[in-house]
Amino acid sequence: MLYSSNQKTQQLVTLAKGGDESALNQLCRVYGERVRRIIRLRMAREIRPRLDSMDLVQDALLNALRGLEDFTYKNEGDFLRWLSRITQNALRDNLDKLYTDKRDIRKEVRLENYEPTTGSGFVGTPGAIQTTTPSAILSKKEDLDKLEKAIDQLKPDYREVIVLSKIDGLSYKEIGDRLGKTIDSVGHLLSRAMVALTEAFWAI
Amino acid sequence: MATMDDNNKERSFKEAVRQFVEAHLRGTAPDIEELVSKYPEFEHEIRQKVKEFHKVDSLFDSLVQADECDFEDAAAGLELVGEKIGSFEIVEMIGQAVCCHQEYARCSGR
Repeated sequence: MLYSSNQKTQQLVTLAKGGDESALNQLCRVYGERVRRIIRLRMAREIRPRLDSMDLVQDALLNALRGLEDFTYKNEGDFLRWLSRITQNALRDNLDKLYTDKRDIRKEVRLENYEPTTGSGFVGTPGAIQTTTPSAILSKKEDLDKLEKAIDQLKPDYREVIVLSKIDGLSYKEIGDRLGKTIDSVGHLLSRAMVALTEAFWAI
Repeated sequence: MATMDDNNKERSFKEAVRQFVEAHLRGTAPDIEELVSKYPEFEHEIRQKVKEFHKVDSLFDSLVQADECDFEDAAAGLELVGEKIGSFEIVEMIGQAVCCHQEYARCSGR
């Protein structure tokens, strides 16, 4: 029987909630890199380089997944948004602590140089977003890097509406309530933002 | 040199593309042929812009939705744990490369 990614995720979430470590690790591996990218897109540019520290992201992600019992699964998008939100909060706490403790940042391992050790209880490392072939994987990674750069070039209100709609999955009504705009204005603003993003993306 | 009329035409075609994008984002499946028929002199640009927009828009989908093979890859590495190869046993997956799995093996029984 073939399962959709939504069903597979739901299955893994159910197993992980029941304490299945392997399911937990699979969730980390499938969603780890996506969560990191989503958080990077949400966060301010100046904080973002800190997210290249693999151990911080990994700890935050695992802590978030260990709180799965508080989560009710509805669909894959909701799960990913919940996971990235909780991970982002945990990460913020970690970063606060990091600054407070004046931890030696030279001990942090940068993501691109990360080589996990066998001593860790965590098996799954958030890998690159995977597709079928190495060239497709590389191409998608490059595209997502470009997307991040293009979003950085946008005006703050364009950037905000794109994050709220395309990343956080809010409805036009919810965005309007948050930004103090009508539904029509949100639609207009989002379309202008997406046109600007498209131009910025292809100019890179 | 572009005349004022040319500039106006270009502005209105860009606005038409924006409206196309807005309709698409609202989930109303706008008709590109209808758009092209209104601005035949910009047909190539319109098709190109719409194609470029769809590509960028789809990146967000790929960001919030896993592919089928993501699960296969995630499971494949874990399935090898416990396998024995000669006098070595795979005890843990320590990382994953682009097109293969890197495994950590320890010498068993020695």
